[in-house]
Amino acid sequence: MNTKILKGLVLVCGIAGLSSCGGNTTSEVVNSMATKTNGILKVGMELAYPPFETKDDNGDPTGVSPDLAQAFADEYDAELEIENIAWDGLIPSLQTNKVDVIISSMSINEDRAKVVNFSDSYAHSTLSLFVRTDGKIKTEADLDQAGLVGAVRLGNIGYYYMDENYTNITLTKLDNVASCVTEVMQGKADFFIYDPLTCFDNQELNEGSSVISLTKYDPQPWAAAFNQSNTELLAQFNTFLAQFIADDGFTAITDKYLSEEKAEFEAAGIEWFFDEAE
Amino acid sequence: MIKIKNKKTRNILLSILNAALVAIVVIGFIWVSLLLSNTELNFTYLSTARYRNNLWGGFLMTLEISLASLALSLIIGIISALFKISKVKFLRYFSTVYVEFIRGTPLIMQIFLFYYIIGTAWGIDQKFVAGVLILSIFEGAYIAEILRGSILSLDSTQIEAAKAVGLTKSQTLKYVTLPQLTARTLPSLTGQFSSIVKDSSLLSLIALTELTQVTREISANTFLLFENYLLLGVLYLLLTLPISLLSKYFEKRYSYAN
Repeated sequence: MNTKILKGLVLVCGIAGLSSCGGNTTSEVVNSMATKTNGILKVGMELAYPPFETKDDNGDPTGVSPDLAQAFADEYDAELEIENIAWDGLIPSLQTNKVDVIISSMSINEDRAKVVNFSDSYAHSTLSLFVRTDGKIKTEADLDQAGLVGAVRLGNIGYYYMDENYTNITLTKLDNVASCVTEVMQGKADFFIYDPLTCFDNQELNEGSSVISLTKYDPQPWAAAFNQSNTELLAQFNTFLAQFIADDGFTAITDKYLSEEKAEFEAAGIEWFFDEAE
Repeated sequence: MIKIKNKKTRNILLSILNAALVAIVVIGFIWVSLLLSNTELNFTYLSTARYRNNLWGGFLMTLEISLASLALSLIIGIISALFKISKVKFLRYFSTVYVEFIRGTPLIMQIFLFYYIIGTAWGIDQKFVAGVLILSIFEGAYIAEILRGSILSLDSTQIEAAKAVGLTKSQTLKYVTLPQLTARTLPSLTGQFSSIVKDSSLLSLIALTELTQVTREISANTFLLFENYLLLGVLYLLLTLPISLLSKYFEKRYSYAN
């Protein structure tokens, strides 16, 4: 009995020793990643924006951002941990080092740039209006009329754009996309401003709705966001990203997740997310 | 060491000392937590007039919603409690279904259901009105249960005794029933008002610009989550602490009833 336990212990110690030994060699060979926990890359994203960040049937993260994060982690031989965090909590999580980086289709904007460091951009997104076909808004110019109510998602780039540029519009600031769409379809709001992809998806789901793309809005670049104290990881990401773009990484991702959407965007004459990066 | 002979002064001093100790422990704990988590607080956003005005507006809105809901939920609660002890079966069942449904489902679900389906169907589009209605219907169920509980706890022999000494029905109500009901319900009712204030925060889900919604908006602009929510906590305490004290006072004032 005793010898059995002893043998077991020796075996366990041996394996532990071997594996720790193995860990050491790899980290010496590969240039290790400047993450908070050695060998682990923690990426924050909100898994609520298919097909960019979403969950598969098993509840595991899938989409453009998880793939991009995986490629980044692989490049430095780090283990990827994706943290699903509500949009409001993303930047605070980064600031308190709960995650090393945010890769969550986040647009660069002035307010955010004050509190995080953005990487080089890898995509960009325009904005669209989701409206009722029989509503007050038929074209972008109709936004200038008085007495409009617009539904926005708090913290979304469409919210900042409306807040800064259309003081004539009363904004209903909501927590989620479904509420915004409901406000429009029930006539409580005249439009919902969001990215074209989500607008098109909801147009398909709701009879009597249409999508208007905004030409006055400059497409905002998307980037990964880093804690301001970690410039090393930011540099590592930029190096990785340049190579990833050169290797047509985003073309592969588009083919995998977004082929239908790309055709839809082309038909509507809207710039594609990765037009510059592809 | 100064010897304090007067027992009363010593008691007061001891109370102050203990209160100060508790304050030091609590503030110290929060402070150490902030230090350990490397959180630096930055309240400079409060120098922006727009944010200050919005916060004040939100504070007033929360106060208005709470007061309006207090009145309306009391009415709903009293009616529902009367239904529940009524001899008419329909009313009793109706009240039971209402109370069980409201107390058995989360407020967030009731807000969406009421605002987007019932509110839209019946033309209640004004957010303030919808918000007060939802909150009152929600709190009314809890108030109904508080009232029912205290009505049932009244000893029926008292009514017989009142009859025996020759009191009329209205006299019985005035001198026997109501004083006891007040004593038994007032402390818990005041406590429930505290809940109304806190529960009103969920109305931010339909973008009613009350305190929580304003805080969420400011934190979306400033990304100062902790500062904004710490302040939110303090502002809610400003509303709920006085209520809590009032509840304690009522408890003491009416303690003879038990």
